[in-house]
Amino acid sequence: MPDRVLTGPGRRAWPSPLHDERTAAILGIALGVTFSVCFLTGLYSHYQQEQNDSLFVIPARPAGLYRLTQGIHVATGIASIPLLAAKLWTVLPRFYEWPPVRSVAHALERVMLVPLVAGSLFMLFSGVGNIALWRPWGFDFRSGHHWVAWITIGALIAHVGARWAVTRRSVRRHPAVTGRPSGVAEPTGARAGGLTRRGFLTSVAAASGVLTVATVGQTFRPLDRVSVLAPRRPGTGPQGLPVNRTAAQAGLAEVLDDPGYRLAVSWPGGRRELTYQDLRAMPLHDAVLPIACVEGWSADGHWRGIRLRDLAGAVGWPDPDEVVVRSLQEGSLFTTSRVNRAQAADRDALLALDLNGEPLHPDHGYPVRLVVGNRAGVLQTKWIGEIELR
Amino acid sequence: MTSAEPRSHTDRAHTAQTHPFLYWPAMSIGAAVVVYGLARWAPWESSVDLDTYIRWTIGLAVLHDVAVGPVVGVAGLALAALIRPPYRAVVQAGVLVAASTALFAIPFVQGWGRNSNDSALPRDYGQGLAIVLGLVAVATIVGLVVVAVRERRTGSGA
Repeated sequence: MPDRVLTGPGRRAWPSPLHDERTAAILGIALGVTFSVCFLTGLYSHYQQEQNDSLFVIPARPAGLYRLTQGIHVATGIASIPLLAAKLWTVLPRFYEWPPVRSVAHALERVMLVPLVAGSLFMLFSGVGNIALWRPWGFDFRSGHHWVAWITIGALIAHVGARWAVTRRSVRRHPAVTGRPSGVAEPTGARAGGLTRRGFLTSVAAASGVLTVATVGQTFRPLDRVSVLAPRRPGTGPQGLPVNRTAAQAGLAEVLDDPGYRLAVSWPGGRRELTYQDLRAMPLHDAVLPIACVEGWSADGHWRGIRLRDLAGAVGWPDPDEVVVRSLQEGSLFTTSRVNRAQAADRDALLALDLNGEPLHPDHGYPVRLVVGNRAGVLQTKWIGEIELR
Repeated sequence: MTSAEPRSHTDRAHTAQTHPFLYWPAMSIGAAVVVYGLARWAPWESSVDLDTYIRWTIGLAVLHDVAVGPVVGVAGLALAALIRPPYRAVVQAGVLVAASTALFAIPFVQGWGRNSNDSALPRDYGQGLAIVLGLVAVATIVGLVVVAVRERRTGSGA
């Protein structure tokens, strides 16, 4: 059985071993793993941002879980870039395959390559664009990235089914199975001094490794100094912590100077307004919690603030089923966030007033912001104006 | 154009390449998931026009197949013409790593996403890319030296 990607008259035009089934199979398996990791971690992130707890209740602990999953999501996506480029190069002869369709099964397999290739390119392109804060596409990133992920993973499932037998056969090392078919010359790449299959795959792995080391310091702090292409530095920002949106970008620079600020707290049957001084006078609790952004960066902060459960107890509505937090910011998708019962009861779920020993910088949400473990950064609502206990 | 292999042979070959019990279930489930994603992200659910969606989905794939793939092929042929074995493999490996890194770094180096938030994109990415490419170049040169030494030893021993 020929083990080349291409059959037919075009075979001789692609003599390199880099276009054979075994190379394609190994890269395909690697991409299958990385894309699955990205899909699952991405689903978790999307589920968090949906804030409806329809499948399971997201706990506040482990506090660093979202930091881990989203860090892995972005790092794995970046590491997939050389893998996808190599895979597309390996199977490029298929584009010129002749005859283009050999059976119904083959036609379906080829049709499903359209969403697979287009979706894969879109996912990595939009992911990189998003972490580079460059979004030229004109539609909502979160929606597009999420639904194209479904399209891509569906096409991947179909592709795995279509290529399972070939892949299984190709990755077996037995020479009787993987050896050259009779009458087909040994691939000329190695013989001619070009990259061998092993050299090619090692180079692709090296490229993925270089990109990982060059970026992962945005969430894995020990590598911060060597991650020279990381979109963020964990220690760079007001009070030593990055911000995703500044007060000026949120249109709040002047609003925050208002001495008449009040935090409105409501619950079934009651409502109360608290001044900044009132908040300061309440028992304050310290916690070390990460801000973990959907863009893959994360950093620890030393927070001091009022426990949500203490606030609920103080107003006479202890153990709320849900806490809805509303920002002073207008026009953002995440102006409102919801804290579920388990999170609200956590000892480290805070309405933070201080960060790293100082009152919150306006860019970090002054006068008061939400900080709860295991939550996406966009849900750590800043510039809180209203809290509703339900 | 006729195939070098008889049509009947390629038909049988492809049938033999598909898993008898996995192909259709996987194809059915996969197609259903694709349709689900397409339906949920359907352009009619959004204010964005169809052209925009096509440009950023199918357009990327067409760009790859029509432009990027052939350019890479031509670059590979140029490398093969310019650099003799056994040095070619080392240079190919270096170019692969360097090109992947440079491709990723483009929007950062260009600073297309920079804004008034100083904590976002805080590095000098041109310098960062230069450092990575410099290290890759050094590794490539070391590889070339190793190959040269090995070739000389092999040559003298022959």
